[in-house]
Amino acid sequence: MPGRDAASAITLALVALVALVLVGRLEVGTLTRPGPGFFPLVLAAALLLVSVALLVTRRAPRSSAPEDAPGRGSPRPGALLATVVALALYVALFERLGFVLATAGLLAFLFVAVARYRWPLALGAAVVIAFATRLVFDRWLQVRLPPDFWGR
Amino acid sequence: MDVLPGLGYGLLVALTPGNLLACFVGVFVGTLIGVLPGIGPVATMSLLLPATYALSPAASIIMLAGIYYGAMYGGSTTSILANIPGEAASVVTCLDGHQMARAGRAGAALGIAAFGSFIAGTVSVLGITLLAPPLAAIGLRFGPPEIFAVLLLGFTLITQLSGGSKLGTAAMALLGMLLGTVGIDPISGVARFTFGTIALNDGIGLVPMIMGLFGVSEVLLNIESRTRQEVIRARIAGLLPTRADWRASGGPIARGTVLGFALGILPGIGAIIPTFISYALERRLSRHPERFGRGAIEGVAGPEAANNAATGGAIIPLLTLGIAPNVPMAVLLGAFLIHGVQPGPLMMTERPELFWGVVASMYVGNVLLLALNLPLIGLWVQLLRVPYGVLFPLILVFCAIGVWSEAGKLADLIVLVVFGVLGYLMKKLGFEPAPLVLAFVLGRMAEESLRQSLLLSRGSLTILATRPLATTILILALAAAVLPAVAPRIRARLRALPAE
Repeated sequence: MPGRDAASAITLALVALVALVLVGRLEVGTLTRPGPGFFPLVLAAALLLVSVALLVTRRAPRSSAPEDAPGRGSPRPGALLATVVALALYVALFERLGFVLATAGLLAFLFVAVARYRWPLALGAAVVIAFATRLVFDRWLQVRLPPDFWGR
Repeated sequence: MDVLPGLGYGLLVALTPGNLLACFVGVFVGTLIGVLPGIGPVATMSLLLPATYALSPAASIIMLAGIYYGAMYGGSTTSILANIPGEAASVVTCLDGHQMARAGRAGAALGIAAFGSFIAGTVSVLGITLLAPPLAAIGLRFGPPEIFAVLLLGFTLITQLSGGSKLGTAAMALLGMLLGTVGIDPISGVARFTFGTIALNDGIGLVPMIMGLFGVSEVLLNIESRTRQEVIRARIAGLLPTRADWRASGGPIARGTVLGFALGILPGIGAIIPTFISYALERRLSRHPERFGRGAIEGVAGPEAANNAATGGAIIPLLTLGIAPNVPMAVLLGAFLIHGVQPGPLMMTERPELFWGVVASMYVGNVLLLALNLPLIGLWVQLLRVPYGVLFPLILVFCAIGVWSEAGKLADLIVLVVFGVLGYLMKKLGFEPAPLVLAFVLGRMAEESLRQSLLLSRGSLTILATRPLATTILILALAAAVLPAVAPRIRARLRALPAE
């Protein structure tokens, strides 16, 4: 898809340009005494050149395309968006709500909205898994998770 | 320490109860995540990295290495039974392995994959044992210019040999190196690209970046396309290969082992490329190439041997030069550094228990894997039947816990989500995340060695051309860059010669 390829090349070029602007605030130094901006300057300039070359050639960089991998089905953009938003909210509320509440909320939402399980089952499983995870990681593996409102 | 006494000492270290348990846990978890689609060895190694802080350095590295080569074993089970690669290096095994399973030969496919993996894994550890000491001796002669030249060779190989377009890969490698410069400059102490945020002073965390790019992004891709999971339900029998199976698979296993090991040593190759080359080679050598894709046992044996041998080869540059040739080795490098150990040419003399202990544990791990894989096949089949709708929310939560447990920083969780979305977009647009991560790790070393070289030579880049070792490596890098472009023309000329 040439449009998509152009967009990715332009995005990379913009990243390179922003980096070049930011490098301007750093001391570049000389070849004899390279400063902190020396290496980023070389990298940003090279990235800009490669992005322009990508834009000019506009050939999609073919990787092992995930769409073609065995076992892939039809696309579900709604499920993808719901997962990303849920994950962002989870991170935002991770410390504020505490581990068990935030995790149970995320799991219940994903079980219902994305995996399409029924509410009572999803909620029950989410709460049990959140408590069990807290027990395994916090108590047994000594991983310090955010405290819940009732304490650790 | 010589090879045999060193290996003997290593076996004593590897067989202590704590290290043996670490090896068992590593290969078991590795097989488990290899079997489960949607979470690869890199994300799992990163996830368990904080859990290894309390272990001794040897136990920690033994466990993490076990996860890596264990995943190579486990990945084939999912490919054969469910036609879904359990991890990326098992994609090729789907082609013939699943066809064999559909034709009622799942046992033979699983058996030859396990035995082929065992043979390749063991031979590659033998290769490490024999090659690591001389390479470490060469490594002792490495100064900043030589290290920079090796890294340049690595970047060239990453660009030339990765699956995507050369320009796309180069862009990802440059972006990775640029991201690696975020944080306090280690030489001048100046903050770079931190936007005044204290959280960025230490740079972008490797663990959240890797888990975002390889863990979260894979989940997002699977959710979007709703993975179809059709597991072979027939009873699995006949796991021990027949004489005819061995006759057909002996050559592919031998060739796959040599190919995988040799390619695995090179920076940027990883375990995926050798499997594709092995498959193509076996099809070309076969008297019945039409059987490939329809259940040819050679199409399972060769690639499975290649991906397991590659994992062994990849550990050589890490142990002898301190350079990570692929992403899992970058995680292992991180684990070494966390435990205050700098892998490299001096490790063999300064930390022999660690060097030989890790090498010997790989012999032990391969035996454990063979003993685990075949008897536990029923358990792996049951695991494969767990719906993805149950698995993926758990994977996301475990990724978040893994990232949080490293330093308890909210900024790391933000990095996890940002790189998860970035990884998803990259894969959709056909960009590979592996060059970005590798360059992120190697870029920091490249900057340091380049700046030290320039300081040594008072600003003259000719230092790279006046030291024989650095010059040789640079010539190799140049050849790697130029040959792929020139070779087809030379071949076309040569073909045209008889006609003229």
